[in-house]
Amino acid sequence: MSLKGFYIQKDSWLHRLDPRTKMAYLVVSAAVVFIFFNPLAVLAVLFINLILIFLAKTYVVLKGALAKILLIALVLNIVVHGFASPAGKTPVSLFNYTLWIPFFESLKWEGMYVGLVFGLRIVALGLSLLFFVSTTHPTDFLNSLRRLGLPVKYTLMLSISLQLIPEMLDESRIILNAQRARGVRLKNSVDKLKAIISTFIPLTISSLEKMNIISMSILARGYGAPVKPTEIRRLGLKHVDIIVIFLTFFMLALALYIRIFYGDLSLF
Amino acid sequence: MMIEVENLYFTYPGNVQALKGVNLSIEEGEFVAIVGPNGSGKTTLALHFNGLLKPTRGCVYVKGKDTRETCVEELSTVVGYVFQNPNHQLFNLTVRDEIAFALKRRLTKSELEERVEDALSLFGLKAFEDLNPFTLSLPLKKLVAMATVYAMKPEVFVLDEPTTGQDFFGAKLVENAVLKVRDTGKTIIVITHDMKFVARHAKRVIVMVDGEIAFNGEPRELFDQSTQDARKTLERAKIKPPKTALLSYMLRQDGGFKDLPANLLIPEEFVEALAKLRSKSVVKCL
Repeated sequence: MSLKGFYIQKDSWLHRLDPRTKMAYLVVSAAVVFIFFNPLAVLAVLFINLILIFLAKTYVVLKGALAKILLIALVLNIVVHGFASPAGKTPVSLFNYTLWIPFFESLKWEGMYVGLVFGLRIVALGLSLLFFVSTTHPTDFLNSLRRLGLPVKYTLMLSISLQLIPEMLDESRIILNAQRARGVRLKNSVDKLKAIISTFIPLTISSLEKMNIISMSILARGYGAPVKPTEIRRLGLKHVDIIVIFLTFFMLALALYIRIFYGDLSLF
Repeated sequence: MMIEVENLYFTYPGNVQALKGVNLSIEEGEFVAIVGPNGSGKTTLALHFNGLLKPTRGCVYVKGKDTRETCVEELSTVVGYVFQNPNHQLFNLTVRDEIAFALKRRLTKSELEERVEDALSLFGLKAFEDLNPFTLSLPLKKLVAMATVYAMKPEVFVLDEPTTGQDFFGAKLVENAVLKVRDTGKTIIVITHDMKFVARHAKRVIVMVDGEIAFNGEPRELFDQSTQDARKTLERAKIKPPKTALLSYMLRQDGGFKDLPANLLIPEEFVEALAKLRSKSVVKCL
């Protein structure tokens, strides 16, 4: 298990896009999703995302836990809003019966509609993010953040912590094994809870040691020198980037035009 | 038979084949060294002995019990494992608590006291019993980690690179501790890169290369530079024989000492052999 796990190395033109282009798409898709109150508009973004993921050949991410969480969020939204949304007026009747739970009112069509829109928004945004992380290498992402003006101090901090997480997971597995080898029992959940102490202390100490060493080694390698660092992985906007950015902003302009002249397209 | 490995295959997630058909048996009371280049499967093999890894294919039997059907907690009383980095095993506030930790639920108070005292005195840690293990030096931490495992009274002692990364005295301290454990009659399995240690103490050496056993026999046989087979094995495993073995071979080969045995392993042996030659007055220059 590693955090890089989200990134799927494939050879596609979407992988080769500049991270900044993909970030622009991320922002625009989020805007479009939020300016309309119609499930069809949200679904359109959702389908564009699905097509992008398939074009990038990274559909494996759709099988992951995050995709499942998105689906659960959709269902939960519909149910919770269906019962609890103040927008609800018309009760849903099934063979003349209405669904009803104590302390809440009955299930309402309008509430479910609100929940559907909210839920689909979450799914569409989640898919945008999955598309982004599955096609962008973390290093490229951080480089592009630096290009956008985030100081090296923060991007380096981010990149080191991104690397530390999988390392700490590995380390904790070794420590847990070391504890089991000296007879720490892990049979039931109470044992596991107690074992937290025996894992946590060595893990904290080894992480602190590691951080100390990393901080010394980056200082020794010239971090903090008062000069502008040279870029090694050069990022540059190519023709395809410019076309994609143009299309993205065209999508935003079209959405804004519809929003201004035709409203938020709400059905209720 | 203490440990029996039959046609053991192990594959790590990501389809990394670490062991490819290992067959091996270790008798009670043996002193076995496992050597080989990094990533050759030494630690993977050793982690099978106490059930921390379960075979992908094949079987490992510890005292006749199949490790796939026995839990680590039960196996840890038969096979003790000292990890390479002692910091991974220590977490209590005093050395005494550290040694007593895993025993608390298994023994009565008096038995526990006795075991802890026994471990403290065997490893010479009596003077440090109230200190925090994290304040100790690396070799002492190693000793504490060994003592915690020893206190469980396992019959087999697996040590992962006990002498690595220490100064001469630290390595000597740990080496002596290993010998003390050996003298209590336990089976010792040491994973190491220290060929001097192997030459001096191991009764049998297992050479791992690419997840397979490349050699399984006496150190004297492995380090014998006069045989083609041994030289080939050493080259494959990227192992350099101890200096004494090299010297005795070179003296015999190029230095005109035709009667000097080619497979001397430790300086004492070497001196003895030279003295013998002198008494036969073959070596006139001495």
